Amino acid sequence: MSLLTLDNITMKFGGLTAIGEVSLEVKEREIFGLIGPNGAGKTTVFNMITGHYRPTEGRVLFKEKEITGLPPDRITRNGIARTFQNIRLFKDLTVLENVMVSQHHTIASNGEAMSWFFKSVSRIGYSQKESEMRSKAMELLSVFDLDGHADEKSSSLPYGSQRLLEIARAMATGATLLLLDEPAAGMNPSETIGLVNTIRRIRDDFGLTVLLIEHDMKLVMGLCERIMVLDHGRTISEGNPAFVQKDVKVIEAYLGREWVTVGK
Amino acid sequence: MSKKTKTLLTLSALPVIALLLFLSQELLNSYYSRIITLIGIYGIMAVSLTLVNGISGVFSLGHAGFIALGAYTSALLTLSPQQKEMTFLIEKLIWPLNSIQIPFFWATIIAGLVAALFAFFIGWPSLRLTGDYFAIATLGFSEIIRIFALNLNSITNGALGLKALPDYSNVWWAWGWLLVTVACVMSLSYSSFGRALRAIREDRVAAQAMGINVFKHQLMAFVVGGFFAGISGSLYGHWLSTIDPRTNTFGILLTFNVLIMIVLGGLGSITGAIIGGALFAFLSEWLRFLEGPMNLFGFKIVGMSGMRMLVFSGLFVIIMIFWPRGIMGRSEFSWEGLVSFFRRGEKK
Repeated sequence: MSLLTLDNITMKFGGLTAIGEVSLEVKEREIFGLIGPNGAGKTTVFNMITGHYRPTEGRVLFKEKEITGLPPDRITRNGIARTFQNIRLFKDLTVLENVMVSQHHTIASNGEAMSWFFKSVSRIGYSQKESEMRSKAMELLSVFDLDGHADEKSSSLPYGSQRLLEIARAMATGATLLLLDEPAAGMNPSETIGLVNTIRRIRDDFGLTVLLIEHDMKLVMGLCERIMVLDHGRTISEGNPAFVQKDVKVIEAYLGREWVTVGK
Repeated sequence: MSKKTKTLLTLSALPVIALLLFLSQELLNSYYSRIITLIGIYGIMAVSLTLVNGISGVFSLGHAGFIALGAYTSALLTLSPQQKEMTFLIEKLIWPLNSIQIPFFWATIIAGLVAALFAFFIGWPSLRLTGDYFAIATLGFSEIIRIFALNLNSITNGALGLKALPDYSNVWWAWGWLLVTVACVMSLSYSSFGRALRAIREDRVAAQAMGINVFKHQLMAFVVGGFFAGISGSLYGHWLSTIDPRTNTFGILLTFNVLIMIVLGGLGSITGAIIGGALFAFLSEWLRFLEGPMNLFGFKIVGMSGMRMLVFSGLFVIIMIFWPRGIMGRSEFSWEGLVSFFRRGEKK
């Protein structure tokens, strides 16, 4: 079953067409890669799915429901969460608090928001909820081996761990679809291998679907089950890694000729 | 230190503070007890602005507007009908305000609610702006409130203002409300809601991407801040015993004074805001001696008015040089912090 469908989405900024008629289907529990040269419009696609941009044309469907143009917070509450290319953690908050923030919408966005508000001001009947959120956040942190740093400021973590924390924070929203924007950027080779295993593990253990943008071809080819290649805002190829690697258009536009001879 | 010990220490600190306040009432003269009352009132103003500017990170410059609203509302409710008859010379006070008089406590609550209501209607359009634009918008709204107060003769008595307010604001009211304010703002900002507010302050885009409705949360903080600003306005009005719509009592100058308090105490720290408020109240009174004639090493200096503010600003500049993030930074007072502060002293 298709979890996320992009139906001919187009994004124009004035006269510039950043994304032209891109269609995409991500199946449930799939790891899907989105690649392409810099400026191809990969992050723009993410921004349209998560509601940061409203597509000029076309529709975005999630679980067969149209979500085109909803504000980002509503989309997250529907079950799509993302990480950012340039890390956007809440720097002054602790590692644990960063993850707990993502659970806030469960009490602030249902019909009982007012009652939770008065509960948290009066502290009556609130502490149990707080400890529930805390233990759930700790569980998630332990998946990423970050539970030892729970009370440190998030900005004090090393770069690779900050990327992992962003994934943990996105998962804490309760999303079923994760959009990872260059999760391996700035990681060393051994951290990247760890990341590949972690992404597989969270897909299997939590039943998540992952859509990721990445420039590390080893990671993409090893991890993703299907790949779509964008160039100048248009789809130039789509298929499994073996197919995409051999596609002449992809080699011309992105991988380069060396990939065919040396890159393997 | 366990959580239980800390709670116990905090609970036992309350009667100690109450006892100190009681002793100050008994032993010190009325001048000092007025300053202690003012410390409580400034504390409420600073804590309520900290929730908005420090914790949720929207930069409001409209605080004085809400304080003025609170002051006018409660004054119109506590003044006796006879006094109102005598005060309103330009135009008669409209019905039903001219015939009601209610106790100070309820007047203060209503003052808070009125200010909160206005905060809601001002926040609704202006929270669509961010950063400097929001600051300018709120500044504008607070000036509008003041201009209305200046011209609505049949409600606010215009430029003549309200006078002979009953002298209700004593140490107990001020510090009692300070306790309520701190308890509410503290538990709000250290709950899930406060965490969301601080997340918005750190990164608005990421907070929204984590499912938080940024607008609603900032509006919530703005309304709660407005409520307590209204409370402080009621107390401040009854402390001054006159209310007039000039810039330097309920105008922009007051906003900047409160802003100085919270920046001095540490933007984002609630205990810092109280310290800032106390320091501001204390220094602005204590430095008055500078304006009187002095005898300095045999030189006779004639008192200069304004000298106080000069030294005052100088002190702030020095404080900001040595503590750029204010006295408390973003951290709160904690018993461990206090213990380690004194331990550090022992080692030397």
